Amino acid sequence: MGFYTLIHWVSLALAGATLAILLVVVVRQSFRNRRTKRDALRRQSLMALALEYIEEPEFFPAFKAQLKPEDQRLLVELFAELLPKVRGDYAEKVVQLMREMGLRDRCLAQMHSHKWWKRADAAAVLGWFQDPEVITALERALDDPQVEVRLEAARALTQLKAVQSVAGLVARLAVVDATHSLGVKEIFRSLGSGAVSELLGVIESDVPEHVKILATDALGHIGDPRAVPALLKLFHKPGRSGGDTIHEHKARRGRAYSERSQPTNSSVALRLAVMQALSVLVDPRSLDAILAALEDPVWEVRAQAAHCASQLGSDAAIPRLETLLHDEHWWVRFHAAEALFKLGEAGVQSLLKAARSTSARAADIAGGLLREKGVAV
Amino acid sequence: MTLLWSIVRFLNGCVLALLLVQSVIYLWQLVVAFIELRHHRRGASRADPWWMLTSGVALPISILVPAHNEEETIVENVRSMLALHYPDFEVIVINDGSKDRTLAVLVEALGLQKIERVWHADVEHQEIRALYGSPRHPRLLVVDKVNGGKSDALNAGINLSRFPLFCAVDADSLLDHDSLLQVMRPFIEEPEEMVAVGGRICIVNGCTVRAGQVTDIALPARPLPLLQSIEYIRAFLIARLAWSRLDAMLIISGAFGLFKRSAAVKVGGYSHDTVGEDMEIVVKLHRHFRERDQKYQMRFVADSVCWTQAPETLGVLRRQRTRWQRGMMQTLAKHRLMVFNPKYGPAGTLGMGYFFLFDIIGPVVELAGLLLVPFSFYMGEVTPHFFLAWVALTFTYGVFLSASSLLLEMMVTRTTRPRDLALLAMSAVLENFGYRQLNNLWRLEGIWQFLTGKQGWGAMQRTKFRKSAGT
Repeated sequence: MGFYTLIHWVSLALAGATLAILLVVVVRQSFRNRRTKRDALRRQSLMALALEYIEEPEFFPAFKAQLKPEDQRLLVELFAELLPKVRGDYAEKVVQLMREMGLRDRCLAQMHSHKWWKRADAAAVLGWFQDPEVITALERALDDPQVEVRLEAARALTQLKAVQSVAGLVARLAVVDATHSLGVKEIFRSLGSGAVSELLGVIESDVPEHVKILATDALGHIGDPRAVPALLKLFHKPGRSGGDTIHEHKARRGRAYSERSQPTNSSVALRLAVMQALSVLVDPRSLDAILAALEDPVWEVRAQAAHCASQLGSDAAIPRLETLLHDEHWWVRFHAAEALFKLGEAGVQSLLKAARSTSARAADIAGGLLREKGVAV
Repeated sequence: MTLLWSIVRFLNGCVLALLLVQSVIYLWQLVVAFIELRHHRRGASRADPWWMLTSGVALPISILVPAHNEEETIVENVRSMLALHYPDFEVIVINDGSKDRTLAVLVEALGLQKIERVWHADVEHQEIRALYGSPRHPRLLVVDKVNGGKSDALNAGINLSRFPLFCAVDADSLLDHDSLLQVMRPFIEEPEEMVAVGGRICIVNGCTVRAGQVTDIALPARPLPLLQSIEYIRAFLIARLAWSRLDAMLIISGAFGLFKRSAAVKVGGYSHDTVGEDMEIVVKLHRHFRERDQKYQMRFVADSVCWTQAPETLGVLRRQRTRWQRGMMQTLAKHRLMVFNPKYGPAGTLGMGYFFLFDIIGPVVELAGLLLVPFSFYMGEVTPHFFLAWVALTFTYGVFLSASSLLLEMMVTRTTRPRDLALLAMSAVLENFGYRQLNNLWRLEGIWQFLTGKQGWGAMQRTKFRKSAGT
């Protein structure tokens, strides 16, 4: 077959394919639209029925009698959307309804589907059923080959407050591609105060630094004051390269990202994570660490420490915050000025003094912030 | 004479070769886009908007809205942006020296007053005259500045923004209520490496807009916007998706793009010396991170939608297309070092190489083919086989691709009316006979304008959005 003949045949085939595609697109869409419309109407009536059941549980036999076999799929979707938006008694009634209708069993069966997204969907819904069989299935799903399924299972287990071991969760989630995902962070944050001891164990053990950061962030968000001493220890002894100077840090910034993310030089991220956690915990024991962080060689840590100082509300930070109004980095000056303003009258007086000073940097930021807050300079 | 025909035959060969390569690349893009869309849809279903709204994972965003002579639509647009579903965001409208009443209508409608805000000049821009805010709308900041162009206005917005991410949105565009949540998804998955994410642009002409939201999606009634609709579907659902998957995406539409502020500041913000600032900043980001051997990612999110007004007259469309071509040429010329350069990874070899071959050389060769091949065939200088092969490559593949993009459209948009799909299908065929060639002609004009050093944007017409009955 010649070259041109090949082009002719291929183009003829494509022309035929085009016609077929156009036909399929139009016909399929018309069927799909019809189904979508039908599903929407059915969902509406199912929702009305479900709400009636919630108000009057004795209505259940009548509700069940009105259901068609194909309604199960719609009901799972409907309740998966509804459950995160209802609380307390209402949520329990919805879960009870789902259980009585066999939706829990349907989801448990779906956990064995060969399609990972179906397994993930099922794991998400199972997060509302507090029973041993579900917890076993979700724990099994933590070893699923697909990371999305593991994430959904972990989220469901944290929702059920049924995480058996934080170390196990770390092993299954914190060593995958999604390590940096904010979704993983959110799972650890949701562990609750029951997991504080184990999280403290994680930050004190010899685990990679990104895992320590994850645990530090979680401890901050859980807000348990028991975490403070361990976080302070972590701040003062962050790792193998604790005492880096600003010059060393700047030299490292020029290196490849892959190198920078190695534990030998990631203590900056850890110090930052500790400061962020401390600014949520707001504990007076962290004052010394915050004061030290206000002189950190890394500007991001100084800026975070300024924010932290304002949260703590201690006047002891004022002299160092005043110094930071002259910092070489604008964001540090800005956070220092904001912190001073939040510290009240003494801080405002410091800002007024700086606004009238001869230092252009300090005068600019202090004067600008005061004007922004409506204070005459 | 023989020499002349030899040259013509050689040129004809070049035309056919280029069309062949282009067709193969388009087919490859189609397959890659399909794979990416399947992958994306499964992943997308995992990020429930309610979870994103309530879990605290969504990072705060500054929405930057550069506005120049937008008095017709600005108030409605700002109101629509203030009503977006997102946990933490601010809207910064930058009035770029408008000559109409853009600032006045904003002040009147939103009850704005002059305010102070401390900011730092991280990137360059023209002087800021005043800042406006309102206690009624604490998320809103209006910046009044001396005219300096869209890039300049965006730079002012970057300087005034205080959140880690900024989203550049055109003042004549509307975002779907959950667009920000959707476009944020890649940043949740990869908060450290992700530097920019682009959303999809759809044409609002023909749709019904109520309270700043598109309430009824319909195709434009006029032929020119209708043809642009299929063009946008093809561009976003095939090209943009494929390049995103291949890490070679060079354009994030200026109408809707989310950027990491610190990354944009590192590359000096938007450049003033180009009219294609949206492409230029993306190319600069690629260049910056590749030259420093730092890991980074950019993504396109197909179901995060921004609605924009498409030109309805040939004159305005021509100005837009020549400007796009000029902007692309300026970016390619400025970063010519990257073209086919493996040091810049897929962005240099695939992305820049593709733009050079098919967006600069391509229009010239395609138009030359339109003139030379039929003439040569008429004169008996090319065989009927050659002529038919050229016709096939020129038209059949184009129609096939446009039709295939409708399949992808069905994967993204679930409720398009069959009548609209039929209309789009018809446009997919018709655009290959006249519209595509006209576009190529405008591209040539853009190349000419670039070579002769023409500057400026040219006037764009703004019209009020169509409202539903009773509003």
